[in-house]
Amino acid sequence: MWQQIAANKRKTTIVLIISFILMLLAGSIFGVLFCVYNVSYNRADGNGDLFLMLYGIAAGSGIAIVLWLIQLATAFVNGNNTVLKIFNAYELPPYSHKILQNVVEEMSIAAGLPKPPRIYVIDSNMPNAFACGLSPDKSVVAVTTGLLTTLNRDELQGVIAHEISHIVNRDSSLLLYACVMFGTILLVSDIGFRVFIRSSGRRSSSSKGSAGAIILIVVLVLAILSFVITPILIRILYSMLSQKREYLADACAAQLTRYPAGLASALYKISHSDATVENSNGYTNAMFIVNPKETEKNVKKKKRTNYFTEEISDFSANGISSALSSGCETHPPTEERIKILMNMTGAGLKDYDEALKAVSKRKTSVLSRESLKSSKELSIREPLEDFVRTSALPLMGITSDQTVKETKAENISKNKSFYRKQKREAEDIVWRANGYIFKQCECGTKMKFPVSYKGQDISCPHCGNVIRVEE
Amino acid sequence: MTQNAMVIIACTVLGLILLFWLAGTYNMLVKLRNIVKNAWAQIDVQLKRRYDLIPNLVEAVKGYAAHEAQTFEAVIKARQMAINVSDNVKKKAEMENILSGTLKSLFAVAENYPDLKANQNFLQLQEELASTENKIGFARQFYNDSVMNYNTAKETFPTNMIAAAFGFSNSEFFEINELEKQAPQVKF
Repeated sequence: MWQQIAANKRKTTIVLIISFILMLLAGSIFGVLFCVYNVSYNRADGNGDLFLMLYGIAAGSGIAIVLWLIQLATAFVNGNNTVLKIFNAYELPPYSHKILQNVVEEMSIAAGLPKPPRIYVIDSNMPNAFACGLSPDKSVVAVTTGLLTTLNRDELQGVIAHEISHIVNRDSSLLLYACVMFGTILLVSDIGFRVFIRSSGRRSSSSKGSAGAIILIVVLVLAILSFVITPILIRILYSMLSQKREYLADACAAQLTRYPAGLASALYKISHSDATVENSNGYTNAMFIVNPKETEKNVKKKKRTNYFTEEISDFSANGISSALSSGCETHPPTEERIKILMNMTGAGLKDYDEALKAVSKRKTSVLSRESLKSSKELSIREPLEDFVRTSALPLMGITSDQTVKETKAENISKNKSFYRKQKREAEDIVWRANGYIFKQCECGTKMKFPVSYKGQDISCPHCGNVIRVEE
Repeated sequence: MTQNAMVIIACTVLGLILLFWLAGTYNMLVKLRNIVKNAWAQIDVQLKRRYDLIPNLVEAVKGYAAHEAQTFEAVIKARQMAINVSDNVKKKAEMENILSGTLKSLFAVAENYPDLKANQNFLQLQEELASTENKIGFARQFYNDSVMNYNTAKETFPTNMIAAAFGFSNSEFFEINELEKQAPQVKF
């Protein structure tokens, strides 16, 4: 744990430095562009270009430093509130939802936090949760109302343990900095790109002075590189920052709760939900327990709407970066995370590491060697009754208790029929897409007809009733 | 002259390094010991909370199951015994285990009274007490972890010399009789 915290503190510094350099780069290029364009447009010779460029660099980087400082101050003073405001989150009133309060308190005691984080609620049907805060004692856990209605106690415990692990490992502070800093840089480079495109139309009419032209071309290339590549770079950096820590938080959650299936079942329910979160974007997605985009993808498969891709491209204006964004996700695939959790043979970090290697077939370990060494042998506890009844996945850690065994069988058969139903629904969509006509007989038999059967009379294979397939 | 100066400088540098190392190690030990102390305080808070909740629970059950007097007496007696143990960690752990056992039997009794199980007040108490039991379990988990960290740091070379010189004493684990690895989850 300690090594992890130290590593994250180092990474926070790196994020700050990189964002500073990127800001400086974008600022100076922007400054050069602005000066060279505006002035050389009005002048007959390009002799003053070098001086102008220096002037532009100085002015641009000056503005950039000021902006960077403002970003830093925003992240430091108001980071929590900004993020919470994006989602219209409000603080959980005292004496309401006692179970949630208890679960949060239990998990912060288990993780040894000095005091439990404040709890915020988001009014949304989509089950999801995130944690943010610059330090453990200023941290916040936010859950949606959808999460509270869909999860049982064990699942809720798993989700909260995951979020509290983020707080303990200082992931949330790193993400908050990254969110605010990179978000602003992206905004600036977006604006820069747009201004650049607009002014380049004007530029074509004035090409004066060969030396100036060369310099201008160099500047142009640099500008294109920075405005196009910066967002991509940030994305890659960002996903590198957040993928590993999702695994780690899952591992810590399993260790804290001693019940990996709780989190696994919660992840399943969250990723298979129908509802969507409003106001989420590419930069805050990393904060949630399951990337809202992935839930959207599942919804999209079912409803065939294109709602979310539009929202993304609207935010990051240039198409290249949004096309690339699918290549670098902020979260590892949820299905893999569920599989790893379900394959754990114990509740310790070592067990998670082994399951991870088995499921994802990777050789390197996600967890640091020191934390693996200090990991103890921990066995998986029994689930609560509530969980046995409402789990989305098969159970684990069950003892010889007869009644529990029966419920387990029931649970599994329920899951099987659920999968079958889902498969049938998916098949129906394919049939419909191919123009098949759906008909239901009075006896309850469902029939699908190819287009060539239009206008014919068919008798039902079960009861013999004659059915007419309309045009 | 110059040689003397060199020796003096070398000695000062070495002395400073030693001093910094000493201070660093001492501070680390103090930090670890404080974590153990805080963890113990957290257990204590939760145990007190349980003492406070138990009379309310007994009252709530009494109204519905008056003739289960034996169970009530056992719970109340176990609670009193647990409160009376003050400093000894081992003894305290033992008493708290007995109390947990009697509480389980109290909830088992409640199972037989459907009216009681429908009572909102009782349900709230049940959630509170179940959560408090969980918190005790998790606090114990964290306490034992921090005791292990502290004891390991204290016993390894060369930290053990400093620990001995400044009188850092060993901390005791809060053991329970069942499998210690078993999760601290309580079902009522």
